[in-house]
Amino acid sequence: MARYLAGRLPSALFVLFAASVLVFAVLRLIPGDPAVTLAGPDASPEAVDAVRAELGLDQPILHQYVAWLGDLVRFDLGRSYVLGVDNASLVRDGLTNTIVLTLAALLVAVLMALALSIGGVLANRRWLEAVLSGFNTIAVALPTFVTGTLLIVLLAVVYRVLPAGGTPPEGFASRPDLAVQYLLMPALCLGLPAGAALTRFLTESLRTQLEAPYVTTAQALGISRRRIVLTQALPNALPSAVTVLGVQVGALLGGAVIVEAVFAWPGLGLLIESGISGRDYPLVQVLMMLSVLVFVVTQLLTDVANAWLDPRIRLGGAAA
Amino acid sequence: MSDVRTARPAPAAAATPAGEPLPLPLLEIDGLHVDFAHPRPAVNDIGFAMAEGEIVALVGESGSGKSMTARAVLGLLPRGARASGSIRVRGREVLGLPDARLRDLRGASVAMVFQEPQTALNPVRTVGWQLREALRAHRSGLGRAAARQRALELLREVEIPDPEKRLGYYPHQLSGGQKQRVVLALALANEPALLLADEPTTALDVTVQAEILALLRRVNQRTGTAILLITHNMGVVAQMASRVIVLRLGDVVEDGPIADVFERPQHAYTRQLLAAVPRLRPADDATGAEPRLVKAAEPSGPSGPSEPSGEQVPAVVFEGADVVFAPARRGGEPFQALTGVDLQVAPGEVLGLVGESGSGKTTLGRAAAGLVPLAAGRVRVAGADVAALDRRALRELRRRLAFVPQDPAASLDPLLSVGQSVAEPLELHGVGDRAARAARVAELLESVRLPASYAGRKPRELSGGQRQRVALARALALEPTLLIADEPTSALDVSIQAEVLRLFDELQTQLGFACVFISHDLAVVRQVSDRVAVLRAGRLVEVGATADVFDRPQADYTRRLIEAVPEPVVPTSARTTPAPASRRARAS
Amino acid sequence: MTVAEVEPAEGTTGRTWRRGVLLHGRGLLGLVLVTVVVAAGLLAPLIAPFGANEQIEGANLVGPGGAHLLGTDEVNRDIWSRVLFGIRVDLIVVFVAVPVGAVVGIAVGVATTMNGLADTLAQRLFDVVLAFPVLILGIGVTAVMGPGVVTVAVVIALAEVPVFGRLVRTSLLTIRALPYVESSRVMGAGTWWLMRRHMLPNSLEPLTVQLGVSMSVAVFIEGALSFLGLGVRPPDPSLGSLIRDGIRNVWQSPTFVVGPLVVVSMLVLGFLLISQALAAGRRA
Repeated sequence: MARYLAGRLPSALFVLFAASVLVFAVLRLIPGDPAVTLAGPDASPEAVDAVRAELGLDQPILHQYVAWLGDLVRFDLGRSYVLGVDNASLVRDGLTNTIVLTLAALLVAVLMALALSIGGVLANRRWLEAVLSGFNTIAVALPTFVTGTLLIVLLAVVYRVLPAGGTPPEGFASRPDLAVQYLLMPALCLGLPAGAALTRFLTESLRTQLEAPYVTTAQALGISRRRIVLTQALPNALPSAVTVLGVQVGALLGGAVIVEAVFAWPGLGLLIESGISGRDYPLVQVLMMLSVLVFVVTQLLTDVANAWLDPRIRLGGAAA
Repeated sequence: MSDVRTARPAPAAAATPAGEPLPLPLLEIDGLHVDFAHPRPAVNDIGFAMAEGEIVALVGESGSGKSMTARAVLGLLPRGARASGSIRVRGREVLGLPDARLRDLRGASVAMVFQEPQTALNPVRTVGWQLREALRAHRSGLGRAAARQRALELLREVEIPDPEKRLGYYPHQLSGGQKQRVVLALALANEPALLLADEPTTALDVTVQAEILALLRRVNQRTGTAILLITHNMGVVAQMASRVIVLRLGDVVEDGPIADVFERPQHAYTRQLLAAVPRLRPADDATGAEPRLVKAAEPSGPSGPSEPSGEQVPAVVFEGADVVFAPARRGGEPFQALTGVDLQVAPGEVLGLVGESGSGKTTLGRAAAGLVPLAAGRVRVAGADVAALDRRALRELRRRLAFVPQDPAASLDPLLSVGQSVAEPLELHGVGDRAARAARVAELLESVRLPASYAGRKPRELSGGQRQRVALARALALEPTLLIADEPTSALDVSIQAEVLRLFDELQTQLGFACVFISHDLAVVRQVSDRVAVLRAGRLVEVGATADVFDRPQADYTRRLIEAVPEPVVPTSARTTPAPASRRARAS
Repeated sequence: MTVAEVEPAEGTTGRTWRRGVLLHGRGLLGLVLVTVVVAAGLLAPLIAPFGANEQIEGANLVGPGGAHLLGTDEVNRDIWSRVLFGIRVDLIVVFVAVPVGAVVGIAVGVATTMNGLADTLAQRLFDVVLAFPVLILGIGVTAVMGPGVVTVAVVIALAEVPVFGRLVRTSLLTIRALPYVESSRVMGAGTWWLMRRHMLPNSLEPLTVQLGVSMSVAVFIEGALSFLGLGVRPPDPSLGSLIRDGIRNVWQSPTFVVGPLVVVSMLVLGFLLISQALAAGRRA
């Protein structure tokens, strides 16, 4: 297993490296002199020079890249040109909020997928299948900005039962009940499409597993369908579902940008949006790198989970 | 088929020779009919009875309804299938029972063993877990220690070495034969009175098959478990069963003691089926196709088979050929598929290549076709070293090479019509114009006994046998000097196989191409080849004239291989034992 | 031939479209949804009562009904007309960007199966592109190119390249190992012959399913980027930017946002349904 995982590491590191080169190139590729762009249209030539020096834009390009990467690794993120604050603290605050939102959405997605797919397969009723499948299609199809808007219109504007956006004013830990109120709509909105995709996948793979010969063997032994689904089909379906979940985490990261914008949730998504509109490119770079890092780490975790769940990988080797 | 219902004696009466206190038959099936949404029912009208402790074979080709019948007993028919009629186990009607009641039956009084041991076990659970689960299905109160004890007993029962260790194994750590033993242990867990064995050895190598069959017989003797053996293999029937029931397209055509059915078949279909089975050892009264050695002894034409001699350039020569495959996964071991193979095939000669799975026979065929590179040694096709040729010379060489693959489902491009597939090699080498090619396609289709009008059909509109004939026509389009046929008939039913083999034989005599005929089926190889090569674990074990190798094998391994093949001849012991059921034929 | 052989019942290749899309209720619904929206977009200049950016005097935030089916926005523009014109942005994205991305992806996928170095290179590149969530990729590209329809189209095409590249590669490798391809190779067929005659035609069919999914995703991406203000440049309308504007006025009346929401949902759902029906037709 260790060997299997070690085999995955080089390509993960390569992706990180290549992504860092690309992200670094963003600042070089923007039209015009980045220092002028960053300093703003009304800046004096001295201010522009100061920006250039601070960014190291007067240094050779390789030197700039290494310095940038070094700063990134040390989490020394410089100052925001637009907001005038320390980028590291901005990112740290945003990161906390985004992690809370993403984890909540992940929880929504996983619970929904497990409940609907296992429930649907166990019930084994045609009408229920049709209803679940229809619900799923709609849930996958509706873009987050649509469901988010609908939720706000319905629960915050028309019925006014939940706050329309923002984070709980006193933080997440001190008033859990308030935190849930604030989290409910964004987490649902972000988790719904991922949950629906995962439900569809898990349902499909449970059904495929139930067609497998080993299930017929178990049935022929008099083991009940419920027990077969829970103790035999599910463990076989899980590894690939975990892979899909890993891919969905990537989708959640992207989706968080939209959901945070819809619900004015002060996370990384909102930060990146403001970074883009304010042309705060160094900040955008950091955030892009961060999202790639999260994605790559998620993939590695997925591989670990897979290796652990599947004895063929865990133990390796063929016939003894 | 005429209805002979009235001529059938009541099954219960058939099972009691003396007739005083009628012992209830173990299994009794009456007028079973299984149907899908399809036009033709899978099972039309099947009825038979089985006594306790009996071994009965249910034989038939694909579509005969043999597997559906077995599945109907346990209520395991596929979704959408409807069964009617009657199935009684020890007098109790089981057809139409609700799932919960069926569960009491499954595994407890009737258990089942399946064809494919590779997939019949759950890959993410240990052998011990699966055995415990089987036990707990009917004995919920069974403690952990007791379950483990019983699981060990079961593994010993199916003669698995080192059972304590094997309890913790996952299926992928076991060999194919061991997996099938575990499947059998699962089925025996709750001491069933009846074991339904659905092609239990079809996916196994012939030596492993012999072991599993012997084990099944011992289990039958030790535990008195009756076995309904579902198979297409007449050899297995002859070696195992005391009674045989022949099915065709969902109907019983014949039912009787094996000695009677094998020696005096009543129904034309049974006769035809038996005649189609290729024989490994030519018997005096063999009704099958005559072995090839008879033909080879005839005076042959100028292109006929001959001993490899110095004057002629051999069709293909292997000189110390090694093939090594790179590890499938990073960090894995490379796999040596062939080691130092020296072999040659003369022009116009058919070389049969036999071996069990993993012996490298397919790799050898692929190496001859230039599909896999050699790690060492050389392959010369028609005198030319395949590896040393430039692109154009290789193309010219390949014009005289052809390949007939195994799987009829994938031997033709699904998007191309039959005509396009057959014409492809002609087009490839720019033979003739469009009209000439069309004429040649018609000619080729006729030579494989298909109407020329089939040229417009798509592969999905053909049966498996028809597809293999089209694949043969396509391979022969350029009149190759060397044909490589990789198990060309092993996916076909015996009667279809017999036709394709006969066709192959005729075409080979007529066209005089050399052929490497790869097969796991020794009897088929005996029928078609002039010489035979035996491979084992990538090494050549024995090469010689067909009759020599089969009748006077030199190598130990060859001898074992030949002995393991179940012959479709009733052993003398079975002729003397009185059969428990009387004879019935449904129509003649 | 004395033995009756049972006609096999498998095989769907040629009839997938007809059976999957037209006969399947789901596929038909999808087709209707997509056709209605596409027709509305194409006919926008004819059926829209006002121009996309036409400011109507005295019509400030008028509620729906009367002369303005979906009402007007804060700068006196007719929302219904803007929705009709906004659809056109999605038409470009769906029917130009996605096919371009698909074709490039297919070409790269084909190249990967012919050359080991190209394969390694392409795989690593795909890994890198896929490591960016689509919207993050969109943000990066927008940073370089500036917002606009072209940028949105580039983002979508770029995101689809690895999707199609991987898919084609997998199915080509599967097909290459099939017996009928090997048998052609043994008889002298070269790489290009095999590719043109067997491998490419047989690998294209699963791609139609993916095409449906990708078109549905493209509508979503356009909407999301425009929603973030990274899509079309104001004052031109697109479905995403209309939703953004609608939300701004949601406290005035929730109805302003309904029109574009419905149209986006119709498009995304329609493409997804078609793709599901195609997939079901393949399995049948």
